[in-house]
Amino acid sequence: MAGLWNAAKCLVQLSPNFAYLKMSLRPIAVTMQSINHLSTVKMTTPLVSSTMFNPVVSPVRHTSFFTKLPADKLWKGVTSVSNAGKKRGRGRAVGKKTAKNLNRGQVIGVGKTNMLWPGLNSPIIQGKELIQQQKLPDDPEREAKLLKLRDEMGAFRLLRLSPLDRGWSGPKLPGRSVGRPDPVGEDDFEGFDTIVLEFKIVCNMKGNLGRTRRTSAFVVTGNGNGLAGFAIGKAQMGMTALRKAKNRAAQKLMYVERYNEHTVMHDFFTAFGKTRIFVQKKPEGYGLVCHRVIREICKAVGIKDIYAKVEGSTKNVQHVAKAFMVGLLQQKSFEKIAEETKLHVVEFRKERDYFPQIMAKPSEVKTVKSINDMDLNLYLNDGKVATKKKKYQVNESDPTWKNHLAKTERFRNHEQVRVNLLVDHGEVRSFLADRYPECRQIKFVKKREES
Amino acid sequence: MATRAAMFTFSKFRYFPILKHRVAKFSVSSNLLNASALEPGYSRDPGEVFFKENVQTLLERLTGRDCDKVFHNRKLGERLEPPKYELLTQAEVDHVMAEMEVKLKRKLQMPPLLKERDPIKKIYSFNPELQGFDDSKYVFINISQGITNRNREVVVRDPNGVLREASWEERQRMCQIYFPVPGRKINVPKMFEEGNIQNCLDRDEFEFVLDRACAQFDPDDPEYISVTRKTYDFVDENTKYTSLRPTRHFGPMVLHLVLSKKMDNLLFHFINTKDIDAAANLVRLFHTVADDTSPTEVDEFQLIENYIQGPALKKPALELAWQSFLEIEKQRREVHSQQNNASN
Repeated sequence: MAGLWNAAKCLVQLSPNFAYLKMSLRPIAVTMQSINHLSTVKMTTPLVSSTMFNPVVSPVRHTSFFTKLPADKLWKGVTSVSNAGKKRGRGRAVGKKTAKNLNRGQVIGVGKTNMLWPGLNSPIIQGKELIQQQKLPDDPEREAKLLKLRDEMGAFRLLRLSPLDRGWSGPKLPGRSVGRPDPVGEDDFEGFDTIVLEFKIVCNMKGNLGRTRRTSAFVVTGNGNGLAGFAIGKAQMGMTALRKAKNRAAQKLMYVERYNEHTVMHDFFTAFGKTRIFVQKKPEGYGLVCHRVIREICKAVGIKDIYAKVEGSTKNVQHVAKAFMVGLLQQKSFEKIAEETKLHVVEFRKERDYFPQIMAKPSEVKTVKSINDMDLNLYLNDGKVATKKKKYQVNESDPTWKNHLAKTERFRNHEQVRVNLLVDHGEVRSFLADRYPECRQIKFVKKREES
Repeated sequence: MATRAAMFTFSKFRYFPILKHRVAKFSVSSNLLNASALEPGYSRDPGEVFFKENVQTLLERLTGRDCDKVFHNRKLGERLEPPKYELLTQAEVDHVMAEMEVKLKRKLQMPPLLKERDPIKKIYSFNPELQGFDDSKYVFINISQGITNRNREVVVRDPNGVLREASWEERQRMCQIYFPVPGRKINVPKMFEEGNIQNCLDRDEFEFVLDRACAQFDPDDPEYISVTRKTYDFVDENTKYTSLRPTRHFGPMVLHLVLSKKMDNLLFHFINTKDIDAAANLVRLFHTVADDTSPTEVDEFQLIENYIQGPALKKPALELAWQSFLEIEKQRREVHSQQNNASN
């Protein structure tokens, strides 16, 4: 009895919880083991009375749906699409639910209670000492971090491209460069760059499979020095389609003649289907003023200045590209024109004071010109003329125009006067500035921030 | 001194009768230019020499007629237009080429080399009763049509009562206001000031400087002469003759070098570039300028040799160049004769 009482006294010293003290008064095994290591026992049965110690009554199950099934089955329950649905391509949209790998962000050996397990997440011997199992301080943010990681998983991250890499519209592929074609043997395709012109998903209805989806990529490749080619590639996956198209384009290169390496040889007209293009030769510095597809093809070929008007179907990218390429290939060199028309081809430039530069001489020259030889552009455009919008012509006798002239007359020459003053005096000043030096414009100078 | 019953009735400025009076002796303090008949550095009056026919032909031959360079791409300050193409028969091509010849001649017309003009000193009258009529001078110009600007009457009434003919600067300014010449500014542009010219020349913009000087000044204007001389001397020092060779300024430049006895650099350049015709023409020009003689030697090589042995100033360099040229010529002739023999 004394031994029992002693044990009870021990209990009292060890656990100040009187509830457990009460429990200990029941007959238990008479052993004098130390009970430090025993964790507190969670009582499943309700305790004696609520007035003493306010227990929380919560039913707990140790077995449930979550513990009975493996992870992939669980995920399937949440993200399920039937087999038939999969065939029809259901559940492959952008907002579909994806299974998340919950093991990500977790390491074996680290859990809710942050413990040091020697052999698992720490070495057993460090120096000359044995490392003991220890409880490390809790990481309060661990749960939050895991949840954050899981929230970010599966969501479609919007690609942020630098402005130089962007295509025609946001992160979408058309207009973007996809690099060099793959090398073939010794050919490295150095200096070549491919640009996607069209990237779309096309479907085909079949009897057995139903609707089959494929991606179609229309691509142009070129070295900026006269060589260019375009091709289509189709595959299930977008990347595969792109690669196919790129390599096929590299196989179908064509050489395009340019004038002084910056523009077309002459104005021309082409058509492919309902797409008609009028192309005009332009001087240095004009730029590529044309349909975006034509612009990419010109960059690939190495043309820097051109004007092209697309009439008819402008949306049909493939037709626009084909029409333009056909036109480029059908260009006539000056020698050819001279031979065909049996006349000298002479160039007149304003910058050279209209000095006649003979570009090509034929082997034999006609003495009489026919009506077709009067205008070279008409001959090259195959008799077609592009409609030009009429420019607004001012009616000089209009009283409102005269009124406008009278109103604007007082500052009509101010721009030129400003320029002349800057040239002569270095500043815009009045004629009184000599006599009265304070009568001058004070130029606002921004203070440079000292970094 | 003479009476001038001048009633400028149909001219468009206020007319006034000039009565008989004594011309007072007032020094015109407008511009103090040292205009000597013989320029410092010139052996003869350039105006005399320039207009001689044989001199003109020699200068034209020296300039040459490189169509490509004369009609080079100019920066017009306007939007570029695409070139125009035409299909032409042989007759049409010849016609167009003939038109170009005319343009070429005009483009290669040489601006004359003259001596500095004397300042204008003429005084019409002195009316001291008008003293202090205003703070500033009054300038009158005759703006009737049909007179050239050189002959136009431009007259100034000073606040001290003197009625005098306008100085050259005042004259040019007034004429430019009423009869503007394109490319000419009323006030002299800052480009022609000391430091700024040097800047332009350092950037090799000789043709631009000379063209602008032609547009801005008259050929006998002292400023024009100083600007052009500076350019010619700079080109000569740095032997950058090729940039000016096909232009209309080459002739006056050569004449300037010959007159100021600095033609040896140019001769050296011609020998090095194996342009014997040009070298011979240059020597002929020298003789024409020096003592109006045309040398009797027909052979160009002999002509040049005589010059190098005789009046040349930079003998060592010229002799060396000449010797090396002769050797190259000899070798070339040998090779040529060998080829001929082999083909025969």
